[in-house]
Amino acid sequence: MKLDELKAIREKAADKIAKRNADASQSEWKIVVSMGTSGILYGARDILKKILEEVESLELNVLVTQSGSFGLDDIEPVCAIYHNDEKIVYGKLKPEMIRELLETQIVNGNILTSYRVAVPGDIGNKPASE
Amino acid sequence: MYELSLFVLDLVQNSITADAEIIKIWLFEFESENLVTITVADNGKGMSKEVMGKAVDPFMTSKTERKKKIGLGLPFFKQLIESCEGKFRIKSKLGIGTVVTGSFPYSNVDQPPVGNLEETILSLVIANPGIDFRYTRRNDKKEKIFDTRPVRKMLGSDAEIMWQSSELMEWFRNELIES
Repeated sequence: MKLDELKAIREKAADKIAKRNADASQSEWKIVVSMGTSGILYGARDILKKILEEVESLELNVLVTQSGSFGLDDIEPVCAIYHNDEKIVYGKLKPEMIRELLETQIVNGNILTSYRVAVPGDIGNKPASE
Repeated sequence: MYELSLFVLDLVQNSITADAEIIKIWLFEFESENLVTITVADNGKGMSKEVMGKAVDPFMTSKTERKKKIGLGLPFFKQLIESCEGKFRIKSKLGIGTVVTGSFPYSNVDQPPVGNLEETILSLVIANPGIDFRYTRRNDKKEKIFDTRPVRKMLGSDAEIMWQSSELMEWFRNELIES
């Protein structure tokens, strides 16, 4: 392992993190991909990979992570996008729609209604404000 | 599922759900001994004897948050391993962790392709900033080891915040895939 390189990476990334922390207007986003057996069967691995790539390419400040099955096996692959106390769930994901999803939901702050799934705890259950 | 790497992903998700702090994955492919072994071990919360007996039963799951309680991950893996004349083993202890192993002949016609295991591990590492991974792949000629613990030690308290920075993700990619 080339651990020496990590020192440089740490210094480089530290600047970015400091800048990000200083910008208090940026609120926390989190994307969770459902990675249960059925999710994996329907391609959740590729969805997670694509989300990681697009978050990087759009330079978004988003934590991307995975969890066990959401119990929405009929509409896998599924991800939930969290923003402050809000949770929005998207289903039947395909790698080619991830960029549009991130741009609509995170960059522009709008719900991509065509792929949204209404589940308990999802703000989609409330009348949409848009 | 058609790739061994997808089964590994499924097994690792079990470990994550069991609150593991470190997950170790081994893939041994020994042509000389006609043996392939895949192992996933974690230090998660483990299972009691009673639960472990049921772990390979498709109608058993640890999921509590919903009514439908079915878990097919381990039964699928067991079925795959046994379908290529292999041996499936699971060991678990409450509070200690769980080890799942599948081994089968190298030359079996029914054996699934390994698939892109390094790419799978890379996603796992990046998407789980709080968990350490150790991955070992060995065959007759060479051995490759990837471990996140020295990385975490090197980065200190900044590790988790830095984990998904493009610089660190690139470094993980280089270590796992390109080297």
